[in-house]
Amino acid sequence: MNVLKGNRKKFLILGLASLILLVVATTAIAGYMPEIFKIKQNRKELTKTSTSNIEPTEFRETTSEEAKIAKERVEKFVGKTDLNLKVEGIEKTPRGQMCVLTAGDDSFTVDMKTEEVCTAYFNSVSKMTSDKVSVLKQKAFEKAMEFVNGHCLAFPIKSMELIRQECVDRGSYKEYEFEWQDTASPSYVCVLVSPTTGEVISYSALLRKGKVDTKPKVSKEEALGIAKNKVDFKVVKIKKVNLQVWYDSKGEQILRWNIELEGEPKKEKADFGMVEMPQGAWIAIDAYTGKVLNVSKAL
Amino acid sequence: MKQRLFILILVLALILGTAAPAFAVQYSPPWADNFGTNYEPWAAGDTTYCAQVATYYQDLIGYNADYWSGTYNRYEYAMELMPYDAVFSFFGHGAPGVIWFYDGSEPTYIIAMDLYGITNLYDIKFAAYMGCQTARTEYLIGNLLTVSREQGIDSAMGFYNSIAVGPHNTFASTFWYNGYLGNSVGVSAYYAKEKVKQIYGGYYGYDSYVFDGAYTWPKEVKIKPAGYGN
Repeated sequence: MNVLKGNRKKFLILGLASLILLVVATTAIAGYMPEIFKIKQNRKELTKTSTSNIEPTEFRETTSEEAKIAKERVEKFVGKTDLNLKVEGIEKTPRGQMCVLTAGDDSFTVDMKTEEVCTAYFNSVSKMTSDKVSVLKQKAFEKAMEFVNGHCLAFPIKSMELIRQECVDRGSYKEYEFEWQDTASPSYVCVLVSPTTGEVISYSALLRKGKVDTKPKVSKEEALGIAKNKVDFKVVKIKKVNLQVWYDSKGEQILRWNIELEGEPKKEKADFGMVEMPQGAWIAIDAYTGKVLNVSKAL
Repeated sequence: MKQRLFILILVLALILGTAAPAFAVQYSPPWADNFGTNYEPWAAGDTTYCAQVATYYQDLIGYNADYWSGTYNRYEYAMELMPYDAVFSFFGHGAPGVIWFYDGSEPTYIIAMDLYGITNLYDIKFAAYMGCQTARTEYLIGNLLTVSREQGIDSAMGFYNSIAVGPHNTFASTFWYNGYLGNSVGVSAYYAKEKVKQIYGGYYGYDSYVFDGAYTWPKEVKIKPAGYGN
């Protein structure tokens, strides 16, 4: 009995000590405020001033005529008139004015210059897409071809080339991606197909007439030589070289060489050893003059 | 009987004492923090605008959003803020398992394993590690997206391939704008990469986005309305 009484006392002391410790610890944690918290609380005005340089996406309301055209185009594209389409407005982009529409989870944009649907995203299909691959690539390609032939006026164009066909792993889901690029104009088409259901997830296209001569005066080898001279790393791989009709900074069509180079990784010192930082660059070269139009390094 | 009661109090006190630091603090409005900076002369690119545009749209949604560039672009600040964030974004230099910060004098970094050392990350609804190859695994330091999922972040995004400096503002603007419109992070990323293609004529690595997270469908997470994760 005496032993128990003695233990009881010990337990009581220990219990009280733990409670006091808990109160002290909680107060300390609540009272401790890292420097960055104080800065965050005091800099709201500064942040507001500093974000005044943001140029928000330009969006305007549609006229009734524009809304009517856009709705008709989407209904024709989908092949249904009971879509319950909502016209969100018109977005100004460097490629022209794009009318944005939604129908439940799905969304569309209509290029107001060509009056063609330029983006369709079927979120209802996307939601059903997982990392499960139940549809073979060939089957998915046939589905994509069937879709573009039925929906895109640019097909069939002989100069439209398939430049990409792959199953992209997005971590928690997968998508088949098929991309066509016109060699005679800036036009392109890209279709995503669900490997889970075999249905089209999205369609995106830019359809423009070609206005330039597609014969380069600078050869592929010459362009590569120019590109390699423009980077400050050791080139280990030429990832891509292709000729493309595209736009310059003034919006005029040009013929350019697109080159993607991979460099030897840069070694940065860290506490646990060396970290290899990826190096690479995307270089655009004027295919008539050899002038370097743009060099974009890897982040 | 009394002895049992004392033991119970003792055990409870010890459990509560240990668990106290793990209780998350959720602010109202929820916090959002965005890191982007000028990496010159250490490395190429200036991602300040990317962090600013994220802040701009997050503010409109209703977050208490801030961006951290220049002297504030350091790993310690990111590590301190993350446990209190609903949305965290980084736009800058990356490598498999690593994101690099730069305060104008020295580069600092967070590696995937560091995230294991931060408690309370489960309140983050969306974390974006926008940098080169941030979705890849480095066998010594791990994978940022995998650790994010294991730490309870609802949705985390990275890039499998390298991404270019040029179109970063376009990607960031379109991504956060779509989030503001109410689209999911998956749809926002899709529209952002398509905008890059439409303006620049190619994807420049921005089509290699990857999602992972503790939420059943990480790409379906929406940053609007403002709120903490599950």
